[in-house]
Amino acid sequence: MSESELLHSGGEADIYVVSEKGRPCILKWYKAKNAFDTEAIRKIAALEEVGVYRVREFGEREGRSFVEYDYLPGVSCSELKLPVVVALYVMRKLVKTLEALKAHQLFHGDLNPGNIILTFADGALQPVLIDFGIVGPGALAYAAPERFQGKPADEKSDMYSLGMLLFRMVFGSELVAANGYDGYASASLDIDRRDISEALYASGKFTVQEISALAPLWKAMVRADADARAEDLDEVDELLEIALSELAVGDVSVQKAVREYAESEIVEKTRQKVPVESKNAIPSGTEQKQKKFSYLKVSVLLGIVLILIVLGLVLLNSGKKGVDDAGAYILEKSRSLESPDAFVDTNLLK
Amino acid sequence: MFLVLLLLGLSACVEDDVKRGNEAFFIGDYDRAIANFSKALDQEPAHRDARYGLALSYFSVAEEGERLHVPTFDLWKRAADEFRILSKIDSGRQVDANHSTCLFYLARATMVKGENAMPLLDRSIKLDSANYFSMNLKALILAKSGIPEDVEMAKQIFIHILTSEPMFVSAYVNLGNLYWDEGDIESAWDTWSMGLIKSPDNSALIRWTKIAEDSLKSRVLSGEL
Repeated sequence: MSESELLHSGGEADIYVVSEKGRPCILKWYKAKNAFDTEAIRKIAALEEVGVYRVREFGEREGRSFVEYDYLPGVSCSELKLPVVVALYVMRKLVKTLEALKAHQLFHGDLNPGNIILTFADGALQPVLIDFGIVGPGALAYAAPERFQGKPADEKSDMYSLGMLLFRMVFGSELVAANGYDGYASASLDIDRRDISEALYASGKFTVQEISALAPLWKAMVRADADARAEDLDEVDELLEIALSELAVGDVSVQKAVREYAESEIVEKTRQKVPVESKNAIPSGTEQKQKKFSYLKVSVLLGIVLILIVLGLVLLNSGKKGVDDAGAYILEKSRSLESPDAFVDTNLLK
Repeated sequence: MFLVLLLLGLSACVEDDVKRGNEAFFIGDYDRAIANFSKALDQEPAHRDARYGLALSYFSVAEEGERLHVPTFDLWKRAADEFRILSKIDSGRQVDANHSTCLFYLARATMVKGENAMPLLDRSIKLDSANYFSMNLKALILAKSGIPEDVEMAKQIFIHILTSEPMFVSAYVNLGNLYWDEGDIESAWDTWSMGLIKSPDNSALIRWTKIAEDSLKSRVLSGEL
């Protein structure tokens, strides 16, 4: 580990961004040991799933548990309120990831906005799940009633959390607000008495079409009795697909809405992400020295980059204009969309 | 000293050949351009501009072949070979887009011969992720396979094209065709009519939007919808 910066210090853990061989990683350094289910993290570390964080290292250091994973350039779901169409799209992606994990007998157990990072790259919005292996019921406002009874996470408890998460995504705040562990446990048991559609309607922020499209989802996910929820995640996915088709005209419209939202919200917020404080992840007494050294390294690197840019520009302008101009001309001509009919023709494929 | 002067002299010759190659290229005299760039490369095989000029000249010859409807596989293969060598001496990304287009055409010529073009298209897309022509052709091949996973991937590719480049009209036609083949007439109509907004004069879109519209109307009248 070479350099590190503290991103956040919470009651459960300190979060650092560290540089591992030039690659930015997140180090979550818990304040206690045995802070997570080691077996679950071991399984996650062996996976390469697009919707799951990439765990690089985990274990114990100085009597405290830690997990190190690849830095995700994106925005935590907890900082966002999503348009209904975008939220449904994100939910479908999450369901797909959870289904893939189910094949490995892995369940998240703590689905909440803070554990979902929305990334946007190459025109695609992708939610990425972090913080697996929770010990305990997880974020109380999102935990299924059975989790308060000490049952392990499974498909149905994750399904309940997904329902609560969907509400938070579209509404902007949590469905349940209670005092302490017992208050949330009791509220989760009473969840069937909540009329979620009515709450959405009363807010005046949703169209009737949106409320009606979402209604079957609450019934399938936000239920106190696990048996009353949808049979499996596949059924939830089908309901999400139906809801989306009620709100958007075709897949292209959905993708356009998602892309527009991502470009206006995610891209800018991702750019604004900066560490709040600098400090060593592992105190060593040479903090100041390392800081100065890192400034020096950055300055040298910037200097080299500048020299290379200048050299590149000089080279580009010294005699290479002719052939590069020809290249630009050919590219423009060959990529013209004026006559793409040739590519509609499927005769080539017969 | 003599050696230095000799090297300078040779270098000046190479630059002259490249210059002559460029001049010939810009007036469309591709044979002479090829001769001059090749001469420069005989002296200096790793000369970036000469190699790029040669690749572009072969590219233009192959393009002419396309217009004349003659078999073009060998022509595109020759251009692609030059781009492949160029990619080893030019570490910049400036030539990647043209290299990608060249592989797209080579893939088409490969398909005409009845051979598998998918590896060429994958390389083309890897070189330039904005080459929607290659993506479109890849999606068409996947759709044609009839394998459900491939058909789904084809749909996703068409959707990706349309969200990235809404004016790529062919993708509306092709995506609509896919929905139509699956019996999803509503989605087919949605897609074709969206394409028609972008390209109101496109005859394929006019025709298919009308057919889908008629089909939907008859289903409403028969009580199916």
